[in-house]
Amino acid sequence: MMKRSPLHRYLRFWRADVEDDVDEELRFHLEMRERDYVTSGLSTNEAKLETARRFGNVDSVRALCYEIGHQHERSTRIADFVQGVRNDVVFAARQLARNPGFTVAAVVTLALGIGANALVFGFVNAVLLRPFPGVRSPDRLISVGGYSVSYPSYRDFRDGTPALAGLAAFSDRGTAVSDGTRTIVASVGVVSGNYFNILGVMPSAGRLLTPADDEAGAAPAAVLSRSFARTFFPDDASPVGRTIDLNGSPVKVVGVAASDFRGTEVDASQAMWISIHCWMDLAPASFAGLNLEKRGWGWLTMIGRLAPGASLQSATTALNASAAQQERAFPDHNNGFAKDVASHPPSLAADAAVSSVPHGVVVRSATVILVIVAIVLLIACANVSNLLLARAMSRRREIAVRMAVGAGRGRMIRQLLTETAVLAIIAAVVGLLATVVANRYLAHVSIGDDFSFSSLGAHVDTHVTVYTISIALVASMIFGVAPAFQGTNDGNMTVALKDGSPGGGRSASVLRRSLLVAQIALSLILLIGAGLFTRSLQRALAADPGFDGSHVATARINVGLIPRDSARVGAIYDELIRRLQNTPGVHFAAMATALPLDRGSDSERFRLDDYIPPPGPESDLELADVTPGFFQAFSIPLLSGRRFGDQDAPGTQHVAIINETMARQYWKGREPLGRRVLLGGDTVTIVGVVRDSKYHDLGEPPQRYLYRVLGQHLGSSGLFPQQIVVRGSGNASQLVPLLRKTIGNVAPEVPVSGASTFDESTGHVVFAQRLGAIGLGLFGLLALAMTSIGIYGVVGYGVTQRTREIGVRIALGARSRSVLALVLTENLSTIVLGLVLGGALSVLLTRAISGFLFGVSALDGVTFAGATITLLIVGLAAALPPALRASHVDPAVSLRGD
Amino acid sequence: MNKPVDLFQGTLDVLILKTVSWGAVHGYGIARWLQQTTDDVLQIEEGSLYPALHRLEARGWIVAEWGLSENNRRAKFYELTAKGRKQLRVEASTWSRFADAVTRVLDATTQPA
Repeated sequence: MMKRSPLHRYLRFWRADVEDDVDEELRFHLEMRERDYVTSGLSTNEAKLETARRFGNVDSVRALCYEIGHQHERSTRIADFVQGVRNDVVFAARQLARNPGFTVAAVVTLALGIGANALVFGFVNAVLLRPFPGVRSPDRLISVGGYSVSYPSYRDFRDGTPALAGLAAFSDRGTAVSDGTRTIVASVGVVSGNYFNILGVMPSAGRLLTPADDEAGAAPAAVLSRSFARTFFPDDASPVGRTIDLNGSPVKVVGVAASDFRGTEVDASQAMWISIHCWMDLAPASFAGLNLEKRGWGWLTMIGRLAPGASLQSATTALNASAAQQERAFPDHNNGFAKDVASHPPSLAADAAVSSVPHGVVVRSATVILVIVAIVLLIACANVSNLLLARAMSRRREIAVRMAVGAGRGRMIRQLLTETAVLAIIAAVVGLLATVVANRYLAHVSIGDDFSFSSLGAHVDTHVTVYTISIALVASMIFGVAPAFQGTNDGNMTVALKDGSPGGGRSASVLRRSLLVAQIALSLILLIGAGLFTRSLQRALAADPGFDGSHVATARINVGLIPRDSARVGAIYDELIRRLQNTPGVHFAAMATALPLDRGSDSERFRLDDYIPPPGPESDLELADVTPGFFQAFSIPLLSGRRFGDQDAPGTQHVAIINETMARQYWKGREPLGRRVLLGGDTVTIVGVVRDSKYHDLGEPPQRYLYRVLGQHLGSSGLFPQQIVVRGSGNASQLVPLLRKTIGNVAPEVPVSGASTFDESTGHVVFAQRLGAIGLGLFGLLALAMTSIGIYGVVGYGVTQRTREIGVRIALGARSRSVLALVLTENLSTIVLGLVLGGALSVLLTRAISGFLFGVSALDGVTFAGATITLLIVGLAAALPPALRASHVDPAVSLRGD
Repeated sequence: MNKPVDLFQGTLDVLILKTVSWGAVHGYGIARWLQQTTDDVLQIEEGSLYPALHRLEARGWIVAEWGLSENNRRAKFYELTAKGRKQLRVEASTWSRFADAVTRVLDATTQPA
């Protein structure tokens, strides 16, 4: 019936738009019908009318057809795409399985790079992006920072801020925790009764605290954190219902919080939580006389949850209004309060998460570390890229055939990229598994007394997984694109079909060498970074701190947590020192409110008889209260006068020892001994001058310092935590158990914490350098290993390609030594180019870490030279085996050819 | 002219499938063939053919290609696919059994017991 035009097949390629198709089809129908009616004898007008009647509503038919057409087109496109991807993936998997050697090498290399990124991102995620695990919708939490409030003031804020669904208050308090046999100091969250309800924390056992627990006279109740419950009661699956001693008073454990809840201080995890009223009943002696209702005592931090629909702005306004109202109502205690509150607007808790460490420092360190692991990944990418290039060259024939039978270049590239994406995803999965293992291992690692990886709570969650898969895919584009384009290069194809020999064109070899240059440059950056940190660490450890901390062990006790009078405290201290002194193996024993390289120490407003310092930082003098043996325990040399002795008893003249900087600053050329210093309300007489120490960190400039006799200040300093120091002759670690045992014998109820050697306890001082040296060192080694594999591979591949040419040279009389030299010099230029580039980039980049370095310039010549030479030697060593192979090519074999 | 007969739901589909089974044909061709074959008893509203055709195409029972008609105009031709042929067999047999059953009832000569 219908005749089909030969044009028919071509016409269908005029893939007109769906709507045009429908229009044309309907028009054709109507015209044909009309013509048939006219042919059968109707007038044109009658034919039109009859056609319309017969057809029905043209517009609605057209609209319906459009809709069906569009829908069909959409689903066709999706189905085509899905089908294409599925085919590609299956094909890619088959190709990879056919080449297990290549696949394993590529996956391992990538997994190392991706795993390093996943691991680091896990920490960044835990610290910066997921600050409050265990809390319901943390994005609606606001934290009120910059000032702390008294309990009555908190109450006013809570009841006067309708923009908030609730406002809680908390404070972190070191508390003596005892189960009757041992006493430790734990970080206890003192919280308002609504705290858990507002945060939306779930209990994992028992119940959480409620407002009923936070009333005067309520039975003392504690909620433990899961990790504390596990470490403190390792044998008890559910400690709910047990009683523990807090600061000497019994408190009942009523519940355990959800396993990942660590409190609302990001950098400190809390062991347990008790209510504000409960804590008032067991506050330590140093808080005696404080009244919860006192408006002048600001000690609570507030955290709130926005009411549904309320904005941060409305919460800010409400807080400011309440503050202004409080200032009006209680002008004595709240002078300037409204201004203070207004200048510290609340922020979304997730943004203000990093509290005690400045946010900028954390972000900067995180950025540096992320850049480092990104470099490692780039090096891995370059290696895999080279592997892929080599493979693409040997697959040229297969690719050429497939393109000759009609596969478009775009289609081929898509196929090759799918292969690399499959590789990347396998590598991502392997990398993630490795990260899970690494996290489990790291959880047991702690550096110094205060930092443990487990407290960061890093683990593989959805964020980390998504991030890892994403960087893997991005990486697969980075390492896959160049080989895919190169491998499907049209120029190559004709050659490939003609001779079928594996080999690369000129551009392929340029590409390979560029990748090598990039790799060497990136490795050099990491090596230089590692070198800078290592030298900083050396410098820091070699720096003379002005004292000798080896053979010293320390522990912290906090007598003040157990309510007592100062006379009794003094007796405990005396007894402790006496017992320690008499212990065999101990040469000196002492106590102090602060040790050298301590994080902080007390300071007092001071003046001299003939000098009143101007108001400002100079008028505050840092000081430590110590017992007589302190200077011998740390081998701090006495420059003039005398040390403290037993004659400096509580009732006698108050005396002090100053350091040389202070002596020079205020009595230059004059005798400081016998001078008086007015400290707060007390007057002390200088009896000695000692050498300067490093008081807080190794890089600090010399600073003024003053020591007083602890026994003469028991009423104030005596109630605060004390450091106990013992010096022996042998290994300091042998002194630690001794120290712990003696304290346990003398005062079993006094909590002891941080018993360790002095070197361990001051590990934080060189923490940044050590972490940088170890971390960058490991990554640098990884980079070095990958790069040498890359050099070995590229040089070896080049030699294989040129076997015939080398054979000709040897046949024409070239000596094997000159062939060796030829191959090495050719590759040397690549290596040197990489080194120059890497050196230049390092000059730009090391500035970012200069803040973490100690005693070493960011452009330290020794480090730059050392790293460059190391890389040069490693690079040549990696190039040597293939070069040697080239020099031993047998011309007879190579010329016979493939 | 006899009174037109209303089409049952889905009947148009089976009619189209059958028409298309003869070979590639455009929409107007289908309309004309149905008209001629049934002596225009069905009086199909011709516009309703097109949504039905396009739905069948989306289901993969027929395929469409643009070609030239007998008077050299561009027209969209429909052809039955293998899947469509199978569907036609199923629907044709369903329809026959249905028609047969109805016929048997209407032709019955014995009154229900």
